[in-house]
Amino acid sequence: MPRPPVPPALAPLVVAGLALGVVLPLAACGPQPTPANQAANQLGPAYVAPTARGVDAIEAAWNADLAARNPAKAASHYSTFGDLLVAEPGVAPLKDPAAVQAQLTQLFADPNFSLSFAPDVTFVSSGGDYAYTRGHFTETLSDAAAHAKKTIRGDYVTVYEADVAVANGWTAIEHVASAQTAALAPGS
Amino acid sequence: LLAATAVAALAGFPAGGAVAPPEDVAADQVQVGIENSETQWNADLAAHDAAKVASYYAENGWLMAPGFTAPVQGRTAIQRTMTQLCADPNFSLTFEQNTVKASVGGNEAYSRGTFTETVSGPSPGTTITFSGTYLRIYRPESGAQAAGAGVALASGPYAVWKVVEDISAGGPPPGAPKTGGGS
Repeated sequence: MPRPPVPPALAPLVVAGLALGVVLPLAACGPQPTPANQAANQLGPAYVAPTARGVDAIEAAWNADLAARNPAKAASHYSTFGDLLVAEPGVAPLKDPAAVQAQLTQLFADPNFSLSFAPDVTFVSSGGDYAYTRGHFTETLSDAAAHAKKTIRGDYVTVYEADVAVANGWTAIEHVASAQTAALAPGS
Repeated sequence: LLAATAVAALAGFPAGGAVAPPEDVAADQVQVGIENSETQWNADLAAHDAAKVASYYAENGWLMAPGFTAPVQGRTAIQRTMTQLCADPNFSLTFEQNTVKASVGGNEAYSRGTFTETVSGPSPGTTITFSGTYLRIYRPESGAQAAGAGVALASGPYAVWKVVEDISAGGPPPGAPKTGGGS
């Protein structure tokens, strides 16, 4: 699917979005519209400028989707534009959200499965078109061979691309997670 | 800084004076630079040059890979880890890019691709070969921190881009030798 063109108003808004914390209180002092909120109005009320806060909001929602064992919602944070790659420990790389959803559906069938993660670093490029997070995850699942639960801990990096079509303004386009060897012992 | 710059731009004033905007480095220039740099990086790995390999990383760069017991934090620790790996006569690591993207007018880029690594096995005379996917985040670095290798683009404060995050998935099977992490 071709990626929709970025609205012309986005470019200045991306930069302006970084300043919204300053601009909005000023705007509240008087009725004069700023270029930022004029552009935001053109893009619709659902538009949220791509900020680090938006990235953190996505990862919080993502954790909630995983806790709710909702594979469709958990997979919906990934890009649908054909440039996706998800590489997780022990799984062949996945290249579209449908494959991620199928993988998650399989994992959620395991009653012992749980996955949570938290960012340690969130960075938004000054151009406002890319962002990334680096964080840590904990995954628990059944170990059929050992007839026990096993816990995997590790780190991840996720790259986001600005996307005006989604809530919080970002979709994940790259996600690579690396398991730490010492954490691979069953029941750890 | 960014907020102040944006406010100045919104007000119609140049963001001059004490507030300097990020240098606008063309995205395609960054992409080509990363492609060339990673080609040289492969050559440095083939030469088992741990110091040169470590110099592609930012001073506070992180290296996270399967088989590591913890993330390797910082260029000095990365060089120590690479020295340990390069001491293995059977060690080889090659990688191939699939994607390089750079922020337009910004200060972030990334590369993603596949790697193949060989190390000595647990028994004498054996080797273990494994492959996987890597993802590297690049950011510009300036001044003394930017010494050594990296993506050299031009003069100026954002002349050299370094790897701030390097993570890979896939990796060694159970029983393969562990590699130390830490900082």
